[in-house]
Amino acid sequence: MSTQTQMAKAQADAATLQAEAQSTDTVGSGISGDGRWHRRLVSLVVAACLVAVWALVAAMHVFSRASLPTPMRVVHDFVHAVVRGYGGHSLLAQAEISIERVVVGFVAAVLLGVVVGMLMAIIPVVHDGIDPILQFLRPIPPLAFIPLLVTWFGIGELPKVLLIFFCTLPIVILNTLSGVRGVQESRLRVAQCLGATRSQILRHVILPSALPEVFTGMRVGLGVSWTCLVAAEMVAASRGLGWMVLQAGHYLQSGMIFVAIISIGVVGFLMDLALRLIEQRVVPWKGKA
Amino acid sequence: MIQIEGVRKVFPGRAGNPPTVALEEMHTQIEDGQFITVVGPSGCGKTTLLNIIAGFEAPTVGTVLVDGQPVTGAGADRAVVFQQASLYPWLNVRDNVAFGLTLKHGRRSVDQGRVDEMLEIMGLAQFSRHAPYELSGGMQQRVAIARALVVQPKILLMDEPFGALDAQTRGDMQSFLLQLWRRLRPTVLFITHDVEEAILLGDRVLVMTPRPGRLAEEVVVTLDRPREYAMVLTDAFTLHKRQILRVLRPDQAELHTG
Ligand SMILES: Nc1ncnc2c1ncn2[C@@H]1O[C@H](COP(=O)(O)OP(=O)(O)O)[C@@H](O)[C@H]1O
Ligand SMILES: [Mg+2]
Repeated sequence: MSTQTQMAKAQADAATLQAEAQSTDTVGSGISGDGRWHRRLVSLVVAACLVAVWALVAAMHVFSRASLPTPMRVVHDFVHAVVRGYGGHSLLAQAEISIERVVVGFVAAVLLGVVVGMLMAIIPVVHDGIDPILQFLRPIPPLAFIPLLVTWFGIGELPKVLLIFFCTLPIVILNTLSGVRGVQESRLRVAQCLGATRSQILRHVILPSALPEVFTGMRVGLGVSWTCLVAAEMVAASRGLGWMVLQAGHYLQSGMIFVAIISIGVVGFLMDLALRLIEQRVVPWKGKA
Repeated sequence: MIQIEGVRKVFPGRAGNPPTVALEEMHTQIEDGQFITVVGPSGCGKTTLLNIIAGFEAPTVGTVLVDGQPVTGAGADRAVVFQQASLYPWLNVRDNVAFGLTLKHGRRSVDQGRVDEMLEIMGLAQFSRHAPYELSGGMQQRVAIARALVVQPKILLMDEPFGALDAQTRGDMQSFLLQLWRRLRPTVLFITHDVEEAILLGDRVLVMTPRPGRLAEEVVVTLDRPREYAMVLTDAFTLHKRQILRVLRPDQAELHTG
């Protein structure tokens, strides 16, 4: 992925998430539950059509059997990976190690990113010190760091987690920064007139006001985490879903490649879903106020 | 008492633009418990005046004195209500109203009786557990007014608070605000661009004109209190309206005859 496309993608992701926050609102108030059901149906039909086209193309042998497996073959390989395992570990265990790496790197990035973003927004010196580094690091594709991380930290868990951490960190920082900067002035002024101290304004007005954008940053960051993880596992790993993709590729096991790719998609989707549920509980006003 | 003494505000022009004189030198005085309205077209410096009294902005020259003390920043003696309710969406209606008391006394020591009373006066009692974004615009503005008044400020500054509401709700809110004012008696500075609203609510109307923003006229309203909407049909009301429109619409010749 080129540097510009990657940056553009992260921005587009953020925009999509914002739009989503607003559109769920309009769906809730405008279209009835019936309409929502229709939209689900459309999604299902399109997905079914795609699988059908896939089955058709595979059956016509447009590509060699080794490069495009049939859907049945993928199901077979899936069952195999779940029951008998692949590369010495079951599919679940492979997913587990990947999830662990993502969660550790991602959570660390969120914790540090929110604090750094806040400090940058509030203390100009901190901003001037850190911003150039961020601007410099942001366009570098994560893959470029892998050889260095491997040289420095070997092929254990640390370089993978660090990679995820460093790719997610700038996104969380920048979203927190823009969340704090975007606090409506009137909210601050109302608190001032009620006699709030600076620290009270920070805790009771600025922090909660920035939360929706922090969550947007977290969701974009989670997507980026998965991208980085797969890259890391493809270079220096002996387990994990990303490793499965590469390993199966070496042995031309196209069915297993599909299994690994689909697993990455499903796990990524489920983690985003979990984050979305947390988001709805923590910032129910997102997109509404 | 609020004394506005020689207050003038100039915004420096950015990127080669000439500076904007937002407010020409202004003198006036507001007695305790008065309801003062400020009317004028957009851009005449109404918000600038309010921001200076509230202490959000410093005047370029001159001073504002509140009870003899110069204003140097925002303070709990002056509450503000804006056109947008600016409620805190992470707090329910009750906690929004209690916000100022929570800041001052801590969450546990809030005088719940006072909060209850305010919710009752505002007709918000049944909505106390609602989120602000679940309320209509008029209701939200009531919460904003309740949040401002619960700390018992001496002065209430309102910047076109009903400007975003439909005509019906606006009328309801006007009579509601007047009842509230009779009961609690804060000094009110109420900004509007609606001449009828200015006359209907105010003891005195400050009429402002733009380019540069200046106080062009002060009209003492002779209508009796309590005020009601039907007073717009009286001769006195028409007289005041003509008086004000003469200043705001000097090109309309009909206003100057009779
Ligand atoms: N922060 C600012 N910087 C520069 N010009 C400003 C600023 N605030 C207001 N002005 C200008 O001052 C004038 C008066 O503005 P304002 O007080 O908002 O008017 P009103 O509230 O009556 O519409 C306008 O011409 C406006 O463009
Ligand atoms: Mg204004």
